[in-house]
Order: sequence, then C-alpha cells, then structure tokens
Amino acid sequence: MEVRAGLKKAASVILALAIWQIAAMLLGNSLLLVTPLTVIKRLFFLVSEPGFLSSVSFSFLRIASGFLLALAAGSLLAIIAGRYSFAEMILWPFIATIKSVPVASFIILCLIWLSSKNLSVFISFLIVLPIIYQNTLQGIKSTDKKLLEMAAVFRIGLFRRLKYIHIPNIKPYLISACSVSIGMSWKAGIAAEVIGIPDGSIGKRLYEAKIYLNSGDLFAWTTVIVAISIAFEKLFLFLLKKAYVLLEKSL
Amino acid sequence: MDITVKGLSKSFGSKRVFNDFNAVFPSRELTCIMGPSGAGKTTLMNIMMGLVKSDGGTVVGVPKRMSAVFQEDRLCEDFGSIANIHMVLGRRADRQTIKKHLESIGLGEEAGRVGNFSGGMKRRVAIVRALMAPSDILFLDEPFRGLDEETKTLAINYFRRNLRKRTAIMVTHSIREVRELGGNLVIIDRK
Repeated sequence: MEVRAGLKKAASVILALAIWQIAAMLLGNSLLLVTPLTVIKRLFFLVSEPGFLSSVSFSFLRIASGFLLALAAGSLLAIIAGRYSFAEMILWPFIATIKSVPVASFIILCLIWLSSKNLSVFISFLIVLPIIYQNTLQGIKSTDKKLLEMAAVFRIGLFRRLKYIHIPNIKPYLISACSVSIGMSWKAGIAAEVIGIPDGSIGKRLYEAKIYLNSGDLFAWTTVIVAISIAFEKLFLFLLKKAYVLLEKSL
Repeated sequence: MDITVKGLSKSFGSKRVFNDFNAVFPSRELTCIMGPSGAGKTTLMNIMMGLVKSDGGTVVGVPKRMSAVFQEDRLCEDFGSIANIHMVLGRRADRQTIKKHLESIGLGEEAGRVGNFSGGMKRRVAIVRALMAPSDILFLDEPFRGLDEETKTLAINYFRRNLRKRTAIMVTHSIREVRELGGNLVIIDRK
C-alpha cells in the first residue's frame, strides 16, 4: 500500500513538473518563469559553488536553533500554564499578540533591536512559540481528569506524572505542532534573512537573485530551502517518535 | 488513629446526599460500606480521599499515604500492566516482584497495552496496584466487580494476603465479600 501511495505521489510530481515545463515554454520568457530543467541546471551549479554549504549551514543553524528554543520554551510555558491557570491568563495577551502580528512587522521591528545576523533565530522562535505552546497546553488540558485524581491519591510525584501521564498524552499534539511549525519556521526565518540581508545566508542569496533578476537562481535557492525544510521536518519527527518509543520501552 | 466522620453534609445541586452523617472507621481494620445505589458510598470515599469537598462537617484521621481501587480502573491504557504498577511504586519494586504479584492474582505474561485487556484483567491490575503501593490506608470501590467466581476467589485471597494490617475501607454490594473478608460494616441508607 505504501509503495502504491509513493508511486501515486511520484506520478503527481512528474505531472506538475510537466505542466510547469509546458507553461514556461509557452510563456517563452525566462525572467517570468524558468523551466524546471533550467532550475535543475542552476541547482547543480550552485551546489558546486564553494559558498553553498556555508550559506546552507548559516541559515540552517539559526532557523533550527530558533525552532528548538521555541520547542523548549513553548513546552515549558505550557506545563506552567497547565498547572497554574493564572499563568495562562498572564501569557494569553503575549501569545495572542505574537500570533496576530504580521511576520514582516516583527522582522522590521526586530531589525532595530537585533543584529541582522541573528534575526532569523528570533523570528523562527516567535513564529513557532505560540504553535508549540497552544498545542502542548491543549494536550495537557485534555488529560483524563480521573487519571490525575488517581495520581493525586497515590501521591505520584511531578517527574513520574510527566513521564507516565502528561508526556504520553501530549504526543499527538506535539507531533502535529512540530510538523506544522518546522515549515513555518523556515518560511519566517528566510523572510527575516531576505529583509535583514545578513552576509552568508540563503536569504541574502535569494535577495541577490531578485536584484539581478536571476529567476533561475531564485527558483534553485527556493528548491534548496524546500528540500532542507522537508528533510529537517522528516528527521526531527523521526527522532521525536523514536524518543517516544524509547520512553515507552523504558516504562 | 481511627478515622472519624462527624456531621458530614453534601449536596449535588438540589440532591442532598449526606445530612449530618457520622461514622467511625477503625484503624488497621477493614470496614465495608454497603447501601443502595445513589446512597453516597462513592461520594463518602471521595470526600475521605480529598477528591470531593464536603459542604459541612469534618473527616479526621485519614492517613496521608493512600492507595485506591476506584470505581473505574483508572489505568494508563497505553502501557502494560507492569508499567502501570511501576508508576505508583517508582523504584521501590523490581519487575520480578511485580510479576509475582500479578501471577498470584491469575495474570501471567500478558503482553501489550492494558487498553487491550478484558475488564476483569484491568480490574486485577488495579487491585495489585493498590495493594503494592506504599500506603497506610486503602480505599476500595467495589474492587471485585466484574470478576468471575474463580478470579474473584483468587483476588479475595490476594487481598487478604497483602492487606498487611492496613486500614481499608471498601464499598461493596456483595454480602459474600463482607462475609469472606470479615471486618466492620457501615450501612448507608437513602434517608
């Protein structure tokens, strides 16, 4: 069944690429729309460039750090808010503001406070934080009250409550939050780099492609971003699920 | 120290469950509570466990270290039987000791999550959990409900062997259980 689903997906990707190729050929203007073949050629060229890996690692380290920091902070804040309702009330306006303010506003505002070099860390963090916080809190709140009463009667300590009740209970919420927020962190992080233009970042390479009207590079770098984002998401979710398997085995 | 319930009152909306209820539960002895459905047996235990607040009156002498078999099994359904017991014991007992307890109540090497167990098997895991937990008092809400005759006998014998002079308060509808286990009897009627 999995092979069949994979084949279907591969067929739809090939179809989309064919439509893209035909549309680009009909348009006949590589400035507006390059062909997928041109993108692949540019991609091979960019990968062989000496600065490619350093640009990728520059952006990856910062955006992944922003995501991981938000994962830690969002989970911790959710645990506190789940335990103390006043903490949830105090956090509510901050989370609501972060959620509703456009990313571009944050980027411009933060450019005044922070160096453009580390802007993507903070912007990724800001975008991911409310998603992790709200999903984790929802998971904590959905915990069976009767199990919590049982834990209270048996005087089960906080560590064991987390290990046996809360962490397993938030599993689907956490996985879904991470799955959504990893892609968002990359979108926001790269946007921050395009506006802040820090040296050696993917964002700067994208900005330069735009300035020099180099659509081939623009598409090629976009492909790189999508590929890294998907690879990071798959790797992270694999490790997260593995951690849950190890936790369950240890019980 | 005996547990003394004095002048207890409790209502749920317009329904009055207790009005000036008094009872004494002797320390280190088993006391069975009997009464018709809706008389407030579970509510009384929940008040003593601190899970429900009374409207008035006092409950004195309940030890801090408690364990319970609840009306529902209240097990972590995604984990196995040993993990469910480990949860309340921490590092106090090893797997082999828990296995021995489970075997003595007729549960062998049941693999997999408790969620896939039958009702009777879950009940027995809940009984072992309550009796193995370090406690000075046990609250048991119809602990042998849903067990067939053979496993009920196993469970009652297991209970007898492992109560170890602790205070136990047990809600039951079965005269046979009261007779077999002995102890004191408190009857709550609807009036």
